[in-house]
Amino acid sequence: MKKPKYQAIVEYIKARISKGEWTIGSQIPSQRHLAKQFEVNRSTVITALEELMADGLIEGKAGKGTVVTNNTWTLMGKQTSTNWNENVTLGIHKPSISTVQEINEAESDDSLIQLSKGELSPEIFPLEKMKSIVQKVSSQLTPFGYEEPKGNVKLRHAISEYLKRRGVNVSPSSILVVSGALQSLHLISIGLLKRGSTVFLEFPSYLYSLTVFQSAGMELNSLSMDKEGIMTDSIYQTKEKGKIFCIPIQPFIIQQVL
Amino acid sequence: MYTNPTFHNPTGTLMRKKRREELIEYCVREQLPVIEDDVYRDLWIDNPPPEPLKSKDHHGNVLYLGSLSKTLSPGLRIGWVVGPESVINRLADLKMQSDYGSSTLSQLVAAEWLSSGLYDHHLEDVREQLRNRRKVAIDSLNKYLSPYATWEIPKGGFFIWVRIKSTFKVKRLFDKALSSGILVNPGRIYAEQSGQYIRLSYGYASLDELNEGIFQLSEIIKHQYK
Repeated sequence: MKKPKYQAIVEYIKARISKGEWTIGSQIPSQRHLAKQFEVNRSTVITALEELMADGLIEGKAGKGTVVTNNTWTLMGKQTSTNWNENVTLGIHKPSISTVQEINEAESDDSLIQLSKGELSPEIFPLEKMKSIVQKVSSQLTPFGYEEPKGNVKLRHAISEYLKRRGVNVSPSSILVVSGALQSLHLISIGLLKRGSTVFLEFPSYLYSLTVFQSAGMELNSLSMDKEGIMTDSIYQTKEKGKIFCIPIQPFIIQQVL
Repeated sequence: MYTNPTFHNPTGTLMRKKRREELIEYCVREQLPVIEDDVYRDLWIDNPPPEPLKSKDHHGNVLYLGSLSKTLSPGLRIGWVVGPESVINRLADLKMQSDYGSSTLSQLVAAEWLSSGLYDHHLEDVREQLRNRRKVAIDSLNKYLSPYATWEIPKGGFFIWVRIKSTFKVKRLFDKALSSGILVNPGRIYAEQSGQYIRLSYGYASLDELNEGIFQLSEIIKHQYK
């Protein structure tokens, strides 16, 4: 039987890594480039890259493309053991991640029509107001060093007032200033949730395009939505289904141990 | 549970008051902790959205996330998380261990925006512009894509979740659009594997580009079925 096309790409990349030509940290050619080189579809390249990612040889890095992360001989020869949890996660996520990287890259290309950006247009940016606020802040500046762990007190008061107008009554001591919602999610994932926990979320969801919970060892479990968002019934159903789904795993693990 | 009940990314769905009450009641009863991601709340276009789930949380069950990135500037890098004090203390400790806190300058600028009232004025401008942008996008969709696709008109935020009708299966629409100079987000990055969905944003491109981009998408689909 003829080898699948993606296998040729996998072998080519493995060879370059094992010869030490592509060292740890070096960027591998773009998907577009590889597709051209091997005269295959992008999807074939993605399949190959997924396999190499699953082997731990390469990894997508934000802003850097796909880079070599490992080259040890033990790793090269290692057969991946079956771990359904991880494989399922990889199956769902790695293709997305390469697409997300491609999008991130393309978002800085001014020649493209950007119908993807989740960001307000520069046309809407309040530049004059921003300038005057920055000036006002600068004229009142006092020496500054590290802030309080939860963030600048003045800002936390302002946020507390802002939230009150939106129906949320909280004191500044219950507010943590972060660099964006993503940092909140990151802190929650490393600080509050146990490895192996399940995170329920809407299907589809923006969260699937990130790896924040999966990287902290959590599983994502989709809930159905209708025109008003999450269907409350679906939480119960999904929880029950999860329980049933776990049962066949048990004999499998025992078999492995034996 | 993670949820994005107000102008959900990517579908634009808005959870109404009754569903919010049902959901929070369920989560409190089942002791299911909730992360409420509410970063699009201020981008309502038609009417102010129902109050956050957090407003009905009397048990400290909800961690509430907000940000200035979607409404003012992602460059400030300012957002917040709200929750029970013990949880916030724990998260603050982790934040210190990771970056020793956000920049004082950014925080002071954000505080000034919020407390001066200029942020609220700015939001009025944003809503006006988004209303106009949404109109241009929906008009173009009606004009060019209605034979091939369906969508809901979002009540806020800046995303339209477009479903290409199954009779017009477009292989690699994302790649084809990119080769025509248009960047869209394919549904698959949100785990929608059918390949029939794309997320369009009307928040960023110029009005002409919005129109042109949507026209080009229709051409790609039309071309495939010639």
